[in-house]
Amino acid sequence: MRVFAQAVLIGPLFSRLKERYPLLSFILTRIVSMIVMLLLLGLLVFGLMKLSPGDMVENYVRSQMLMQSEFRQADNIYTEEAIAEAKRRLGLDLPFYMQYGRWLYQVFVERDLGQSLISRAPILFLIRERMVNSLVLNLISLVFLTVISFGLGIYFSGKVGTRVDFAATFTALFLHAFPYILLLILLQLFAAISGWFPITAYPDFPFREAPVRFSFSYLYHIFLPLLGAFLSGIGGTMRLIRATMLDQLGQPYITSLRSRGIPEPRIYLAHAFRNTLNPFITSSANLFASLFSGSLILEIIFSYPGIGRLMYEAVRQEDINLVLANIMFISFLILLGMITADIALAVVHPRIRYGRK
Amino acid sequence: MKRFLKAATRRPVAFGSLIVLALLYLMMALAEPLSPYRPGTTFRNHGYHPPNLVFYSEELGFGPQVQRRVLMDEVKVQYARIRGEYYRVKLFARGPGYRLWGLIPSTIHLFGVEAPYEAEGPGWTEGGQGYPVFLLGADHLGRDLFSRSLHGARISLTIGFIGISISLTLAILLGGLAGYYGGWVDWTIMRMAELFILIPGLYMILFLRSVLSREMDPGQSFIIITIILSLVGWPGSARLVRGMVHSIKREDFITAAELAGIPSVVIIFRQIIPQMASILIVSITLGIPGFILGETVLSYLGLGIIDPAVSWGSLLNREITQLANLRRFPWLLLPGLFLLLTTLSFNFLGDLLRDLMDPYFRERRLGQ
Repeated sequence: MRVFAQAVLIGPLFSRLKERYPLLSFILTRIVSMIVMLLLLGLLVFGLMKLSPGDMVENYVRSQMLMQSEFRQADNIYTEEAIAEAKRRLGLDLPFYMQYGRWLYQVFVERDLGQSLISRAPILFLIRERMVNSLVLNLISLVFLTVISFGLGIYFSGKVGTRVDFAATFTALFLHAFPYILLLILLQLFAAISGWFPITAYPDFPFREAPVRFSFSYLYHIFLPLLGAFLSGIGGTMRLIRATMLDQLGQPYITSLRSRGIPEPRIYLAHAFRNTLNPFITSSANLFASLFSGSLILEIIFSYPGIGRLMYEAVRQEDINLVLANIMFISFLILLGMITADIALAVVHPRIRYGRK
Repeated sequence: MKRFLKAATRRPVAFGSLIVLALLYLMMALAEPLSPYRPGTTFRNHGYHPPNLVFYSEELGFGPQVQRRVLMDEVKVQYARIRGEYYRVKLFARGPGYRLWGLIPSTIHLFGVEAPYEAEGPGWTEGGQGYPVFLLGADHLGRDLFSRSLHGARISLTIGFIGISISLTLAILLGGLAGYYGGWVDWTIMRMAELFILIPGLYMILFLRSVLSREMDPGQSFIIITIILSLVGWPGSARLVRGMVHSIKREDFITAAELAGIPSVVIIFRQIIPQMASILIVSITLGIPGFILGETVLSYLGLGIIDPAVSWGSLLNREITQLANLRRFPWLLLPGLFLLLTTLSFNFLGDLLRDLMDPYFRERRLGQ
């Protein structure tokens, strides 16, 4: 009955909200859907873990038994019964949704992500700094990528059919097709041989020591890795923008603008360009996700202390807690990016907000 | 097909990549006779041996030949050339025995130094007559990188096709159902796809890799890697398929088929899906490099194909191509050349196909 009453109460409230503040209600629904998605994702992750052949859970139990004195035995040899007992006490014999519930409780109520199985450090401590590092790296490369690919895309869409355009599209395709991992290895080799750039991507002193010097040193260190990310990303985005620009330029409204004698730069920048923003924002969330995916390799090759390297190390060491926390955090971040893109789109294009039911 | 050939000849790069791909797959199929040694043939005291094929010497004159080198410093891995000791590289030389495609027994290799030089094989002598030919140098254990690259192509080049066929089957099945039925079926399938898209690809791959068991033989790990890559790959294509099915569904001939009482499953897979064959071909061509690179990255990180088996990724393994090694033995990167050629060719070919299939393409070219 109470649920029913609430539904009756919330329903009209929401529709009134929608009438008065359409943007706000749009954002709210997006955020709610994001939370639901995250919860579902967690369920999926836990379910997959349950399906797994068992190495990881077994290792986890063993390490817990080694650590907690109540299970410990002198010779570190455990009977099947002892392992089953330990599983029961750790809650690992529960169905996966119950385990998930416990994990959620632990995270949100007790504010504790647990410990890393290998280093015994609290996971929150491990993740926080790395997360910031990765975020900074990827945001910088996203900004560079966006600005430069827009510039190039618009420039080359004006030169369609010429030799320059042909060369540019060919280069873009070449860069797009070049294996990212090979590019990064080559860049690092270049840094090592020429000695012009450091071979690691992070300064060897902390930020607190000398903030200004750190910033410069940081930029110097991440230049080559960023160049790699940029080169491999620019091909795809530039081609996308060029193609949408060309689509727009073929539309009748451009012809009508031209016939009215509007100057060409104005047509490009004020009209055609504005309409390319739309598909770009839609794809930028995916771009962000793929940047994160790419930065995983980057972080490993250039030993940058980011979330990708943490994930890699956690997977190699079978650190189940850390893998779990990593995957949830990264998807949270990507979801946040997607929602931001959606909201930006709704702000830029009111039609989308009303049209989407 | 005729149109394709005509367009291909007009675009030399795409035509070239078609030829390169054909050659690569031929090399893969004929790996045993083309490579001078087995992928596992280990030459003792030849670790990190540089490429040694030369074409001129005073003793033997012009012609392919190799010079004997002796390992001077086992720690620093330095080789000294022996003056005057050259060995001719013969075409169709005898080498380690093999069965071509598991059927035809043979010992003929396309090239090699004819000498009893197989480790622990018949006629093996320490410092025997002859000297191994390392076309692309040798790895840390003294195995010929060229032979290993050719055999590694077996995994690297097939993983693309198997992976894309699994992921595309999933995508057609789920995307087709979602697009045709709409409503809650559509909603459920698309939310499922979004869950997979949400996590950045490599993180998802690493997570799945950590969930699936660790100790396994090469065959198992090949299958597991392919499945993981397809699981990560299907949602993107499923979205594409769904969109297409959704728009084709409104065509008159579908309505006619529905009125004729043809079951909807038959309509989806016999009427609608064949309509999008061209788009599927393009997405296959452009999707394959993704799978190849996925395998490469996993093997590079040491989580993919491991040692007795060999793939291009495992040749580039992180432990072997670390910076200190690369600076001194740059030929360790040469297997990457095969990788580069393959991904470039698939992309150029896919680009050509996409332009061909795009009805607006010609218009767009002429429009400006």
